[in-house]
Amino acid sequence: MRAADIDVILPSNALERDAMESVLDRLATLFEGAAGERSGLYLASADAGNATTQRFWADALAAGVALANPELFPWCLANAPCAALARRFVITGPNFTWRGGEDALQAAWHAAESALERDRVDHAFVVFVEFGKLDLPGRFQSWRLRKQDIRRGEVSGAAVLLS
Amino acid sequence: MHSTAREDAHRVVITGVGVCSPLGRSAAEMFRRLMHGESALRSWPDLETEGYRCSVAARIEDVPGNPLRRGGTLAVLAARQAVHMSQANLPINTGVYVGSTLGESLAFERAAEGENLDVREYGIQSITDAVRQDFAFSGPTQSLATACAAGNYAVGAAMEDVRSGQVPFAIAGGVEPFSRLSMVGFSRSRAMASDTCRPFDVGRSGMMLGEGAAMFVLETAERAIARDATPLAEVVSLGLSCDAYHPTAPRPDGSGMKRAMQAAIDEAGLSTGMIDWVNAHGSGTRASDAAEASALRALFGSELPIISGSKGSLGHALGASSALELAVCLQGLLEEVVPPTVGHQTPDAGGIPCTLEPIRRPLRWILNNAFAFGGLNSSLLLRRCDS
Repeated sequence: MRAADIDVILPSNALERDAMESVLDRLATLFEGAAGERSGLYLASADAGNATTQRFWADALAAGVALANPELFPWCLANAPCAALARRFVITGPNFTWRGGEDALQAAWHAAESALERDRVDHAFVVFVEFGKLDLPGRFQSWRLRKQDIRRGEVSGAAVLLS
Repeated sequence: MHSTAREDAHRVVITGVGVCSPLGRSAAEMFRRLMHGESALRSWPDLETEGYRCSVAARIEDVPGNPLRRGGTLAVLAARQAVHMSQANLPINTGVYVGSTLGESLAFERAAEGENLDVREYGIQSITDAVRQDFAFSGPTQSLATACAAGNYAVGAAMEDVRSGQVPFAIAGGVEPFSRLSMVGFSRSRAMASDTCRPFDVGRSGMMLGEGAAMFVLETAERAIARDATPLAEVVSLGLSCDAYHPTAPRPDGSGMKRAMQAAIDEAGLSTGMIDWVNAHGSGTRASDAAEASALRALFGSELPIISGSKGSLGHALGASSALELAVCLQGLLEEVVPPTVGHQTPDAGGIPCTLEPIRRPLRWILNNAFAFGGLNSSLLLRRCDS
């Protein structure tokens, strides 16, 4: 298992699109050689979409509902960050996003391990991000799991699990 | 079910279904009205007054409770129906699996308008919690945020956990309260139809928004048989893929959609010729329907199964749509009839002909397709439970 614990220091009200743009290049090493349908993405987040949703609606009200700028709308959806990862690294296998805290991260790990064990994927990427707390360290974490290399410890909130 | 006890221990079946939809508050009522070709899509004076370019939608009237918790209310009402139908005495460690696109959208809108609300308490997980708390469960929960495919994802996740024995029972499904934010987003993205939703029709011009909830009780066939419950259908497999192509548009050749359907079929060890019915995603947009048509043609060739779509009747209920349409599939299996595709009359040249009238015939294997922004593709495979 390889992991990337990226320090992303952004304002706590940064939009999800900007946050993802700031991390994608730095994840390139983790995703190296994993493109294709035999890789899956499993992302857990307590708040993906929250910031953009409020910004989009505030902008829509300011412009009028008939004239709102739709550019931000796709990023209101919580699965937009995981879809951005898929596009950047051409990951065309399963693409999951869970909302929640520890339950979401546990679900992501469980689904990733299950997909490896059932031979649905060769590489599984687990990502945990708290967009609203990116002004603090350790709030964007990612792991790459392979079938022969699953090592799991206690995963709790934003605690870093590395090996 | 013509299977061994060992097989039954690994087969996951649905024993209860609950629906809150613009076409009725039970799966049976919704299906009956679909069979009559009804559509819940109509113009709403409040949306006209507020200046929306498109004021047509499929909405549920007289939803009780706090409007800020509309999604939670719909989910709980549907879950109670499903549990009642299952006649199961659900244990405390029952799992809850809910899919949605935006969660309680109204709360986010109000917060953006300046109301003092903590939006973290109104995300999709708040709906999952509403269901969990209503039944006082303490089992695992999952809140699937996979946009318009979320219902399929939630039922698939529940299937996996029931099959592996992680939970004895699961309540799973999708929910989406009506969202003005989505009205604006889709309308301004030019995804909305100019008049009505026409899945796979040559004259289609886009989608129409809906809302609702559909929830299901899942357990192993072994457990259902042991307690003399009636399995309504078997949930066999969930095929998934991602286009990794565009934030909102599908891959035009439909190859990702095809892979999702193929994955569901392969996992069950079937051939494409065994599929009796595909409930298509059929959003009514030019791009999505064209891609899905290409996927269906590439997968099935000239031997297309029966294909229908429900969004001309129900609108597109986003995270609830695939769950509502799973309820349609379930009811169709039970009654051995495929409903008409409201809004569909003439397919594109070389396109997909959908049901124009109810088609009665024995049905065994059904695919329920659901695709989403971000290029997410899902296809859930159902099988009839023989008595």
